[in-house]
Amino acid sequence: MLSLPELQRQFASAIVDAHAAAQHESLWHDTLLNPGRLTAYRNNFRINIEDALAAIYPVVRRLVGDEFFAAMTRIYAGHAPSRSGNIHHFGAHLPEFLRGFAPTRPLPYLPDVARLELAYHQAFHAGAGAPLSDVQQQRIAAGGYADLMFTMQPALRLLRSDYPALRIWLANRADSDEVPTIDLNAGGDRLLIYRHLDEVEITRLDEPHYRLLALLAAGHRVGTLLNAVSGPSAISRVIQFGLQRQLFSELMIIENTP
Amino acid sequence: MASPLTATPRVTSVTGASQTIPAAAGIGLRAEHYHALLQTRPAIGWLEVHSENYFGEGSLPLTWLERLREHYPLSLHGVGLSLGSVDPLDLEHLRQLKQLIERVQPALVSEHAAWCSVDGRHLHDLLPLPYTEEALNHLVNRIQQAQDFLGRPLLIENLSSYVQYTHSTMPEWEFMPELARRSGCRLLLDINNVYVSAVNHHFDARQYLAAIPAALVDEVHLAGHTRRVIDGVPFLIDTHDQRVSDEVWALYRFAMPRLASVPVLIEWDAALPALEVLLSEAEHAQSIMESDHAVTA
Repeated sequence: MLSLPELQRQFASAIVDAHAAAQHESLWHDTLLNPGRLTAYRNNFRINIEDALAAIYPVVRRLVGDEFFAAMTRIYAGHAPSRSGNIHHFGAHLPEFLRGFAPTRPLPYLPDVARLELAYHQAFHAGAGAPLSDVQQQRIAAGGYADLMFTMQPALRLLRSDYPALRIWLANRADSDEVPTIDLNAGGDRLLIYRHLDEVEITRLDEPHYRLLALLAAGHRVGTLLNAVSGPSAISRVIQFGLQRQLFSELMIIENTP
Repeated sequence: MASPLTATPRVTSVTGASQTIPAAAGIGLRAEHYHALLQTRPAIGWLEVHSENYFGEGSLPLTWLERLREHYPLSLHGVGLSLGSVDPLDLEHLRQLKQLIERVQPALVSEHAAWCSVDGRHLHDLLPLPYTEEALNHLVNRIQQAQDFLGRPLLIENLSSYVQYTHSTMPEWEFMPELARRSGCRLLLDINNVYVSAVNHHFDARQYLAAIPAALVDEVHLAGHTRRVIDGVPFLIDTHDQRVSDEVWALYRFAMPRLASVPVLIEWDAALPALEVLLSEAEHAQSIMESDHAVTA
């Protein structure tokens, strides 16, 4: 008779690995009245992790096909076993997995598309945060940006890609009938992904504004950026843009800093 | 020197609807039905959601849930706490559950008599325990830890299972009431799970139901399953992707009037139908609750 820890270890290994179960056939004949029915748990495991990954990465799935996606999910689960009881976390390592996954090398844009889908998923499950108060907004309107430091809404993600990820993503969503020609050499995207009201919004940025927003998101005081970028007007535009889209959830005033 | 401007206070959820679940039929809430429910606000008794889908603070799903919470009592049903696992209890998971409880003020909080993980690896399925003193003591201990942390009793649900352990020393219908007596938890009696396991393991579902004291049961689940025939033998899989089967309705009727005052939930998690179909299943359950007579044959 197996102790509870030993039983759970053996059972888990039999579920994730059909060969392990076959190797321990005599164990299961001693332990279970109906060892053949372990297959039901194996099927459940396969379906549950595939559904979880497909929920985050519908476009990756469409690009590689259902069968390939199913096989890839099993390899991914071996590479990055789920460490959380919250199945929403299971797919978090797929983009980096894809970067090293030889069978998808013919689709070099796939990791970028996966990063975009993950960012979208995370923005969906993160908070918009409370917008800045009237007092805070008035303080910003008063100018003197140099002393300001922002915290972004928790849902905000910034993504820079090598390939035109947004166009690929848009063209391959389930509700899209578009069959565009996408030039893979057209250059990458600089994307802002954030929550606005009840939606996740994606906005394309140009390089200077992307860079500024990334620096603000990293917690730099505005005053330290004045020389790093293309001057005060760009900063003013980014701050106004952030206010309009409610990207900021906190404002700090850093006074008397040299 | 840093001086934060006035921080906006976090608003705790205003819970408009009652904090108790009525003795009525409710439905499992899935994202696909958020809009339809808010627009039509059907006269359904209560809603139940999978806790883990709402762990993201301020997430869009949580925003929807809080809107619906204004109109309906709520039950939180967890699928990932892995109470039966020999791993240490996941305190981060519990902390997130506690935070969600504080936010949406559910009337009921439930989990399963199952393990889902071992050595830190999660299998995202509800796996069966052997019915032994060892497993019972372990599960009692874990439920008590979780209840102490959350400051409230949990409802614990019986599983559908596909295998049976040779070293089990008691039937499930003795294990579950004993679990409740020793841990102080309440029972969530899933009648579809009883039926699925009864067919798979050749026991009498009515004997099971009769052995569960109604005084321990705070909630009933009804759901659809999938029937297969393997080597000429029927084999049932708990799929939650169709209507409640005739056999399960018959068992629910058999449990009347003992369970007539226990809230009952229609679960439907895959191949979701239109909201109306869920509501018609709930109406059917409600009519059985109110029928006030037990069908004995």
